[in-house]
Amino acid sequence: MTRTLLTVLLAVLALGGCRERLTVPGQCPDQCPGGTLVIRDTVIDAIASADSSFSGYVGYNDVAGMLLAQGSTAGEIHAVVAFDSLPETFPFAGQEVAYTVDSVVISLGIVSRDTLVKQPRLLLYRFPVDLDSTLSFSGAQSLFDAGVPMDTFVVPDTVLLGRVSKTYLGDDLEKLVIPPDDRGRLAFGIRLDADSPTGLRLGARLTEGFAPSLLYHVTIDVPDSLFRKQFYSPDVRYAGMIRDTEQVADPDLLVVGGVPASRAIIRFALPPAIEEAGSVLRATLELTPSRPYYGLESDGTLVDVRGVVVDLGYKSVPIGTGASAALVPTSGEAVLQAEVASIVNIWRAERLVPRLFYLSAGPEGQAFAEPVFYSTRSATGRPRLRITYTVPARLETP
Amino acid sequence: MRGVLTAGLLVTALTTLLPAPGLTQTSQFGVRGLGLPARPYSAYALGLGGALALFDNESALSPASLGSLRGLQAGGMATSNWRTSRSPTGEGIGRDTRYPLVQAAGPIITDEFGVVRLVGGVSLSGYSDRNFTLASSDSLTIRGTRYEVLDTLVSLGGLADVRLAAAWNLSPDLTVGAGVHLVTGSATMRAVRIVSSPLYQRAAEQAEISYLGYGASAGVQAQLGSRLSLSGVARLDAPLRVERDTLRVGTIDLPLLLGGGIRYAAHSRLRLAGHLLHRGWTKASASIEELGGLGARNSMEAAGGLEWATSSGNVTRWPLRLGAHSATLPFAIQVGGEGRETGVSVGTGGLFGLGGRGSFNVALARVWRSEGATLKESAFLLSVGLSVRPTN
Repeated sequence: MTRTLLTVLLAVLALGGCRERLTVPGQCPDQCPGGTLVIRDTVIDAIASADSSFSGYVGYNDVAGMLLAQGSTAGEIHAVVAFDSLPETFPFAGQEVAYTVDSVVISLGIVSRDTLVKQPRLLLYRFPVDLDSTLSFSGAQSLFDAGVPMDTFVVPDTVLLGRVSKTYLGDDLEKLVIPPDDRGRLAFGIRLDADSPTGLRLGARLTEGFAPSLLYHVTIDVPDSLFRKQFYSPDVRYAGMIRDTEQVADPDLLVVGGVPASRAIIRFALPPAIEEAGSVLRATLELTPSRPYYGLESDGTLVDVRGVVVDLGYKSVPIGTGASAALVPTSGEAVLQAEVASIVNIWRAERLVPRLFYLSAGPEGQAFAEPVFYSTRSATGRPRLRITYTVPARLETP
Repeated sequence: MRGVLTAGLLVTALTTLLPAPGLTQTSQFGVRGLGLPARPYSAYALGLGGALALFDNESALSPASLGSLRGLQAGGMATSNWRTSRSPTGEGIGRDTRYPLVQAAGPIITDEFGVVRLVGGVSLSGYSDRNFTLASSDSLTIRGTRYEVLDTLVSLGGLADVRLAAAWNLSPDLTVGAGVHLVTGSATMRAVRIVSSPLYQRAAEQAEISYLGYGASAGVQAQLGSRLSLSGVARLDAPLRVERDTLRVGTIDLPLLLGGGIRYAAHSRLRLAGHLLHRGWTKASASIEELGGLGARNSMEAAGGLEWATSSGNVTRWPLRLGAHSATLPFAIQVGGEGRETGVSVGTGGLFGLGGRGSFNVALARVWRSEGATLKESAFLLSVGLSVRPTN
C-alpha cells in the first residue's frame, strides 16, 4: 500500500518537474493571431530654427591634449607652450638667496601617436613669451619660418604613451638663456616633423602626468653644502595649438568640436504615429556636412549625441543614458549618421523629456576633425531623423 | 457541511494560487479564437476516452454527477503533454505539464435514513488553452536593404472555469444538478520581431488579454434498471468580456453546450460508456470576427470506452480502461480550415490509504490533431489524478 502511494506521489512529482517547451514553427502572418509586427520607416525634419550651436566650452588653455599634425588630412597643427617666470632669487628658509642654474630638463608628454609612422620628431622653437590664444596660424607660421629649431626631440618608437625629455647643461644652457626683457620666462613653439603625414597628441597644461615641464637644477648660495643643490619647476602658463583651418562662426550652421569647443542642439517633434508606435527599432540622426570632412585616420573624432532632462538651451545638461556616437569621416561629404534609437525610446517612454539632441565632439577640445553641418536654416541638408518603427499590433485578436 | 466549506476554501485558495496557464494543455491548435477547448475530465474518465465524464463525480462536466458522492472528496489532476507539431514551415517538439482539474465536493443534506440528498461541490478546471509559442522567419526590405526577420509570438495563459455546483438526489434512480460558472483567465501575449542586423533593436510588444464571463449549467442522471444509466447536461454562458490591459475591447459569445451520455453495465466486471457533446460555437463566430479573428464553428465530441475489472473480488484494483474520442475543433488556424482531434486512451487506478480513503487514477492518451493536409499534431498525454475522502 505504502509502495503504491509512494509510486503515485513520485509520478506526480516527476510530472510537475518537467520543463516546458512550447515553441512550434509558425507561418506568420497567416497562422498568427494579430498578424506580425508591421515595420515602417519614416523621416522627420528638425523643428525649424530650433537648432543652434554654441562655442566656448573648452578653451585653448583648458584642453586635455595638444594636437600636432603635419601634412595630414587634418591639415597643419602646431603647439605652443609658455612657462611662468623663473624667479631672480631662490626662496630658502624664509630668505631669498642667489642661485646659479646647473642644468635644465625639458619634458613633453606623448598622449597618443600614430604607430605606423616611425620616429616622429618634435621641433622646438623659441617663441615670444607673451603668446596666448590670439596667436594666429599665419603668425605662428611666420615665427617657425623665420627661426631655426632650438632642438629636436625624437619620439622613440617604443614610446606610445610616455614622456620624451632632454637635459641641457654646460654649453647647451646657452639655448635657454632668457633675455632680460622676457622677465625670466620661456615659451616654445612645437612643430611636428615626420617622414610621412601624421599627427600626435601631446599632454597639455591640465593633462595629469603628461603636462609639458621645465625643470631647473640650481645651486643656491648658502653656507651649508647639504642644501645647495635645489630644483625649481615653473608652471605652464599657456598651452595651446594653432591650426591652418579656420573655425566657422556662421550662426546658420551647426559646428561641433574645435577649440574653443562648440556644441550643438537640435530639437525634433515626434509625430503621433511614432509616439504611439509599438517599438522603435532604429532611429538615425542624419547630419549633412557643409564642408568636406578632414581629420586623422589613426585618431578618429566622434560626434557624441546625448539627450537632456530639461531643455535649457545651451545650458542644458546632457545625460549619459542612451548616449550615442558617430565616427566622423576624415574626408568626403557623406551624411553623418548617428544611431539614436535609445534616446528616442527614452522620449517615447517619458513625455516630459525634451525632444532634443545635444551634440558635442569626442574628445572635446582635442579632436583632429571639426565637423560643420547644415542647420534648419539652410536651403538643403537640414538635420533629420529617420525612424524605423512598428505599428501597434492587435494582440487581442482572438 | 463544514467539510464541504473547508474543501471549498481549499479549492478557492488553489484557484488563486494556480494561474490559468497551469490548467490546460498546450497546442498549436490553440492559437486562434479562445484557444484549444479544454476537457474538464478526471484521469478516471480520460482512461475511457472521456466517455464516463457525465457520470463521474471527479469530472466537472455535469453537476448531476456529484449526486453519487457519499462522503467528502477532494482531488486534483496533473497532465503531462509530449507532442510533435508540424506545419508547412517545419516541425516542433514540445512538452509541458498542466494541472487541469481541482475539485472538492461532499454531502450537504442527508435524510433521516442517512441517505445523501444534496451534494455540493466546487471545482476549478480549464476552459480553453492559449499557451503557445510560434516562431517564423521572413525577409524584409528596410531602408533599401534586404534583411532576414525572425518573428516570435508567445501566448501564456488561458481560460479557467470555476464551478459551484449542487446535485439533488430526487430518488435512488434520479438525480438532478445545477451549477453556476465563472469563466475567467488571462493570456499574456508577446510579439517579438528581430531584424538580423545589429543596427536594429528588437521590436517587442506585450499585452495582457483578460477574460471574464459567467454561466449556468444543469444536468440530470437517471438509472434505468440495474444496468443502464443515462445522463444529460446543458450549459449556457453569458458573453465573455475581453479586455486588453484593463481596457475593454469587446465581448465573445460563448456556446450553448448540450450533451448526453450512456453507461451500461454489460457484466459484473465490464462497464461500457459513451457520450455526445455539442457546443454551439457558431454563435461566437460574429463576435470573434468583430475582434479580428477568423470566426468559429460548432464542435461535436463523441467518446466511447470500457472498463474491465481485472480482479473479480475488488473491482477498484487495477481495472483496465480503454477508450477513444473524436472531436471537431471550433477555431480554425487558417481561413476555411476545419480542425479535428481524435484520440485513444488506456487507464487504470486503485485505492490507497486507511480504508481506501485515497484513490489514484492514471490515463495515457495518444491524440492526433489536424487541420487540412499541412497542419498536424500528435501528442501523448499522461494524466495522473489523486483524490482523498477524509470520511467514508
